[in-house]
Amino acid sequence: MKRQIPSQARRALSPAPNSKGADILRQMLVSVSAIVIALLLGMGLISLMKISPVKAFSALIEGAFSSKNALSETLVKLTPLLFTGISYALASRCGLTNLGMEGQMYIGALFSSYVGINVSGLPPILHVLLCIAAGFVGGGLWCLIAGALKVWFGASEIIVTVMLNTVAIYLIEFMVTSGPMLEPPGTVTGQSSPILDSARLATLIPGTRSHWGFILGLICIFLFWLFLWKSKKGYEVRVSGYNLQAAAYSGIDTKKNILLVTFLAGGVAGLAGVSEVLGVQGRLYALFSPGYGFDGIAVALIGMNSPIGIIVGALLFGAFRAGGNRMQMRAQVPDAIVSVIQAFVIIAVVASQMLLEIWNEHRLKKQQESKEA
Amino acid sequence: MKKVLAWLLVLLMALSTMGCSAPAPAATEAPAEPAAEAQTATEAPAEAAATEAPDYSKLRIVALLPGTITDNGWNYICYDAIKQIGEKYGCTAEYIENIAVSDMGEYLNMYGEDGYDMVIVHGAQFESAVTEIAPNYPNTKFCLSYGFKIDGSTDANLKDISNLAYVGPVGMGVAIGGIMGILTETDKVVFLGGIETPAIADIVSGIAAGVALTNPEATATTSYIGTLTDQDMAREAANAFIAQGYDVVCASANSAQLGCLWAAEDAGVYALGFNSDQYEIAPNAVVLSVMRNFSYIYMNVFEQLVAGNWKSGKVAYDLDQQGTLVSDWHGWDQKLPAEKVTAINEFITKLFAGGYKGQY
Amino acid sequence: MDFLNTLAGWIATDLRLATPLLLAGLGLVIMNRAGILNIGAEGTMLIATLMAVVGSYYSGSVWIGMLFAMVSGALVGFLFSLLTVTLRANQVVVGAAINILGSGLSATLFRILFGVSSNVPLIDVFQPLNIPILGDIPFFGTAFFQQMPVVYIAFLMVPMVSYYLFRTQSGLNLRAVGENPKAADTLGISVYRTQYAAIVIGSMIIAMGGAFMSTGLTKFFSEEMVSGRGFIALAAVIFGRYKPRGVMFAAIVFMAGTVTANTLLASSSQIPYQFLTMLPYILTVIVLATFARSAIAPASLGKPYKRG
Repeated sequence: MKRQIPSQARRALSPAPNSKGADILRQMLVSVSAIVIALLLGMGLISLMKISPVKAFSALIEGAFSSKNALSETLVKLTPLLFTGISYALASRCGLTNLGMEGQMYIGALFSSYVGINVSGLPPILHVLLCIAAGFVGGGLWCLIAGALKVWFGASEIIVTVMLNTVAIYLIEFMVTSGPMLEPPGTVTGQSSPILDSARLATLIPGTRSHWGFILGLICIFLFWLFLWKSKKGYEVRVSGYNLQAAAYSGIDTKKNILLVTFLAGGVAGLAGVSEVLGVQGRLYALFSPGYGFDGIAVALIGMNSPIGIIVGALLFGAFRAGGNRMQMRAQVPDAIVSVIQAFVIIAVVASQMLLEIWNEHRLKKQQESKEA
Repeated sequence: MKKVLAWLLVLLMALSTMGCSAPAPAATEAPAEPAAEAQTATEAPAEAAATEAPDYSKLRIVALLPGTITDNGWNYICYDAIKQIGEKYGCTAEYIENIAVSDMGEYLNMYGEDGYDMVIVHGAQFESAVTEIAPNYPNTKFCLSYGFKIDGSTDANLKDISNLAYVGPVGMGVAIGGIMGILTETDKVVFLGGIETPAIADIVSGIAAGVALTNPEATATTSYIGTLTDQDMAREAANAFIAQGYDVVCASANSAQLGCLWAAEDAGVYALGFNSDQYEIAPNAVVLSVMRNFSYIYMNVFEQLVAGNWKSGKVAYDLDQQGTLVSDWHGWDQKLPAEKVTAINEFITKLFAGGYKGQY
Repeated sequence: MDFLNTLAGWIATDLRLATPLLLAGLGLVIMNRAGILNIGAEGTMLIATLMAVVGSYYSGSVWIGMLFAMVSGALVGFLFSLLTVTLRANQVVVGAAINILGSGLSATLFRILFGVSSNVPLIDVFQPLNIPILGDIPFFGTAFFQQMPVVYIAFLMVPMVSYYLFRTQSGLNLRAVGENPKAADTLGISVYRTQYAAIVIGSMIIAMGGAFMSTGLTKFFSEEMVSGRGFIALAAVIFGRYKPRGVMFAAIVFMAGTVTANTLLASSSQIPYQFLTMLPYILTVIVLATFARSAIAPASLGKPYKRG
């Protein structure tokens, strides 16, 4: 009985990047084989629809990695997933469940495009930074609603964040169809004016759609690691994530931490919207996201809420999105199947991680028993 | 150690399955390039021998859709149109579903690079993506479904790009409004849009003008119900209007609009089908269906392209140019009062002959 | 008199619309009381909407459709319990995966089975059942006793679930598992078996709600037709303080709000439609904030139980 708690605590509190290499390797191997199994299942489903799975699968790889353009598409898709993955992981490390990344992303996009359109006369770098800050604050405040309602009213942040997703999506739709963000001459409904050139993010690889949002994402990964594992606040957050009551007894102000973390997590998710607006679309659209917010859950899950893991998870799902688009194009695989396969991947990864954990416990028990004998 | 080895083996196997299929993309990509060259080759004879039957089989077109083809509405009609083109001419006719605005640029680039002959972009929300990317691929023709408002306010921002056509029917809302104006007994008609997309907003813009043509006294209300999928909510929204005395209902909300038709049938008021012939969905309510004639429009654009008559800019299909289609009566001409049937027939004939031009 | 008729019609509509929400909520209450947090109700319902249509289409009887839907619900529930109970996976994550799966799988299977067309096949659907004598009472008859069978079943299930949870030994065991699984385990209650049963049965009830949407409220399947009800049901459970009667009250109030929003829309108010569409979601958040303190969740809700 006593044994378990320390081992769990160690896992929760130890810096993921520094844990034992063999453990990480084993984790990765298990996850990769789970993903392969999930893909095989998906291919089975595809062949049920009388589509050649080989063709579909090669299209998937082709779309994700085969050329400069394919790689940059993977990069474009990966970028917002870095932010939403960090967002889920950060909240999760504090023992919170943020399912509202999609909504926070929309609000972040709203704030940053407002600044991008209406603040003129700034030098490019300053303007971009201002847009980023605005988007961060927007997403942060939106998520803070959930944090505040949890702290002051005890409302479950899981449900509040889910509800706020829908509210945010309709709010943006209003803003660009009949609200203040509608493009003035009223040409095409459902979009804002383009943001000023000084607010655009530069292209990363010339001639492709990839943009500097990716670098911003990597910076956020670094800050995420710095905050959680190198700062006192981050330590407190992880302690409260492991055991809220224990943290409160040891004098940590858990309420303040919940507010802080919901703001930060929402802000990072807001940056996903910022990078889409400043880097890809150049203006605000109704219903612009293909579901980057929801993918963040899976990204953080595969990455086990660790910095490097999130990069790997984002790469996987980014490649999956880019390749999935190509799979539709080359092999006429319906979009719905792509989401079925995605669900398979999530389920397989969860199952494999838990199997590994159970197996580890089992092994530990055996060792203990043989020692005792 | 043994276990690590075992896991390594698993990884190797996993990688090898990937490895097996990895060479395949190279194989699929190889033919893509000659095809791109072939594309320029097919264009030349098509132009030279427009009078002879050209070889369509090498032509490739694709439709890029914002939603799923099973939506009973906007995306379905485009799917249907592209299928018909493929069947009639034996050319490659494909479609991609559920494209988010932020993904459109990627698809346009892919198909441009592949040298497709015509890319149908089915939604004006993709306008800025198309205007940005189309100039990079002069050999591919881009065809953007546009929602032309009847007051012409949407024409101001059309960009002049030689391989981009803004395509769509004009004045469909007028046809719907006119028929609703004749049908109503209570002088109250309602048109319900799903959400405010350009394609729905352009219909909404014509309703009041159409009703004014046939029944100046009637109130024409247009409203949005906020959903394209929730049939049950759509039904209740329509019920709320019917409860207020509205007696003709028409809706443009993809699969949600079925709910509005059912509401009309349950309440015993008239309804108009929209986008496809919806008589069978509510045979006791749907008097007529008014349809965007995208089957004809896209077919026509395609044939013009093959014949070497590609036209860029605004390619609007007005009421007298078969842009809009009205369904059969399905026996309703026997059930309705004779004077209404005559009035509707006269109205449609005159409207489709261009007789009301300048009045809306 | 005219006003009374309108009111009766309004109540009848409200009850009919509240039924899917009520069924989903009841299913969730059973799970929550056993300590299981399932946000996958939306996906479970989506699969059920399709399976009900499939069953009704191929057998010609809407009751077979209902059976199909419930079997599909049981299968989804079994998958969920396998992952969250046996493997102790994070319940929120698995629930999210179930939602993605439900949306994708229902769309895919629909296309495989029915193809792509604008025609809607005629299938057997639930018809209003006028209860003799009761249905003829003025006002009350119209309001309460001219409903579809599933509506009666759903509302009858409220006292039944309530009785089960609070008056039977098995229900007491189930709640013990949700409050303190370790103590329950010591008392000889099989935690895993209890949770499995709660999830599978709960999912079957949720699936009934989905089935009623496609074969009662409407007449066929269309993609994404559940449109967020599975999420609103989550809130209805908290609003209803994890009690069947409370959930019933919550479902009725939520739908009354929606019906009112529609009336506002029809009386040509100047409010942009997006705000009316947001209304139920904003209401949910407000309701949650107001009632969360008084709704005491089962103590080990959402925490996987580990034996030993």
